[in-house]
Amino acid sequence: MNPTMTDLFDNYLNNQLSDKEKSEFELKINTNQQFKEDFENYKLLTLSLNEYFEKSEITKDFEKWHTEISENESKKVRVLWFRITSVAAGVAIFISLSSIWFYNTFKTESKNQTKEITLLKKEIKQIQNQHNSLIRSFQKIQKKTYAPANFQSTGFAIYGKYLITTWHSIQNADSIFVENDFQSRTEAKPVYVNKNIDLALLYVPSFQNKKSNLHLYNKQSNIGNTIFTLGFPSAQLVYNEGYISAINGYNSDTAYYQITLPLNPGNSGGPIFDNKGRLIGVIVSKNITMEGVAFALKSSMICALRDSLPADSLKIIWDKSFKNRSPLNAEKQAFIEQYKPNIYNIYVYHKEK
Amino acid sequence: MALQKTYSDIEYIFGIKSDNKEILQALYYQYFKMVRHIAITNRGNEESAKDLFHETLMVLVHVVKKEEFQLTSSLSTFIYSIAKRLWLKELKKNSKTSLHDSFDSTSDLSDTTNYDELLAVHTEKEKNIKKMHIALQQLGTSCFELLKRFYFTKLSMEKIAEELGYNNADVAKNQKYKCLQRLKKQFFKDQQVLTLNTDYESDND
Repeated sequence: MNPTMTDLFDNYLNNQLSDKEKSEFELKINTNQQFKEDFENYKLLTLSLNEYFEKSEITKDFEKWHTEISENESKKVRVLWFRITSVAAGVAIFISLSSIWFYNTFKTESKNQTKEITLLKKEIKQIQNQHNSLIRSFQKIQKKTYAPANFQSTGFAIYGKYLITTWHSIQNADSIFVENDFQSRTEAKPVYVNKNIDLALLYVPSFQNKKSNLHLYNKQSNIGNTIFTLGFPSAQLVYNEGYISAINGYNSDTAYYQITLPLNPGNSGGPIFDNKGRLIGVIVSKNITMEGVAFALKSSMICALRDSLPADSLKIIWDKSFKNRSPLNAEKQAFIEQYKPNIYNIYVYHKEK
Repeated sequence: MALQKTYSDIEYIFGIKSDNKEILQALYYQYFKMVRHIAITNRGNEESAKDLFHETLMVLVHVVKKEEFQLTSSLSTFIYSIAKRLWLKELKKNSKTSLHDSFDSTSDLSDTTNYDELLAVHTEKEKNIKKMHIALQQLGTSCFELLKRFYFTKLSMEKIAEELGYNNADVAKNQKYKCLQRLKKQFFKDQQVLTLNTDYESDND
């Protein structure tokens, strides 16, 4: 290769040859192998050289634009930061001002409140005085303090001196007391228990022979029926409403209904009434893993129990208790008012170990 | 941002073909974030994202400048596809771990562009550019400036002689020939020397 050759190659590649020269050149390439090889090499060399320059030039532009973008982004961040800080400052000023205002008003308000509190104190004292005088006037009322019971549940009177509750609530009991708003605390004794269906019958000696007006429903109630209960989940009588959600209880136990009713510990042993005020069951348990699932012993089970008892046992009591009475047609509230005295808070004491 | 202007795909294509810097800059601004996202969300950082974008644009410019070039999808799909493949290769090069399948798969079925062929051409080209880079480094500044002016800027020998302080065009021409011979020698040298310095060999997979 020599300078003339490179000139020729350059001219050919830049299309600067005349047609005649061009055809001569192409003929030489096709016939002279060495010439062809030299030309190919030269072509690759100059092409790569150009591509190299092109790339380095365009990369300069790219770098420049990239810097521009990066600077813009950091500027944006700065602007954003400024915005955030200014908003934050505004919020801080607002909070400090409003807290000053709030503190001032609060101070005056609390002054007023202390006035109210002192007034209230007086009133309480007054009330106390009145209350004490009242207590003095009722000389018969004896003040008794009770140790806190180990367990609390609900029971309801069925006939005479007899109460129904669940077996598990009086299980292992040392002594049992019953109490409600109409009856001061008095002792009860279990006279009959059935572990299988979780039922217990209590006898309260100090009761006067009461009639409970209870209608025991001896058929099965239907799914979807509205039900309600009265019980002692707290120190006072609580009313709750729900429905029968399934005919059978836990694991399809036919002795129980599945009910949906908000229940708490202490509701155990409470009566369940249907819309007509008929006793259809006794609250037994609830499923702690599922929401709104509780179980109640069917009233028909109590009937079956009564029928299965031998004549020389408590059968006579059960018979009398569960004489079918006509449904109560009264309003629900009237019914509750009427039945309220028959529902007892049961206190169960265990032997101290 | 000084240049928020965007162009249509066709305007971009013709802008690249005619070396329109303004349009190329608009293209750069428009697609930088998209390509950066590919790198950043796949174990990349700002620096590698920049490199990926620049390489993607190199491929794009090179491909578009060919006469037979035809856009078979939207420009953004085209750029995305190129960048994705380049990044995939980059990741494969750096680690042996396999990549997420969805990243590996081809996205647009209607896109009939043969990206593999396109990238093979690009790889070959990059290989030569790297070789040229090394060869030029051995050459010295005076030869570099001379060759650049003659082959890239396409100045006349008279002008080159004037700019670089040669006595006349013939001296410059003679010098250019000598430089070219040296460059040729370096460029076609045994590739083993080159493989020690560069890792382009692993690109050919």
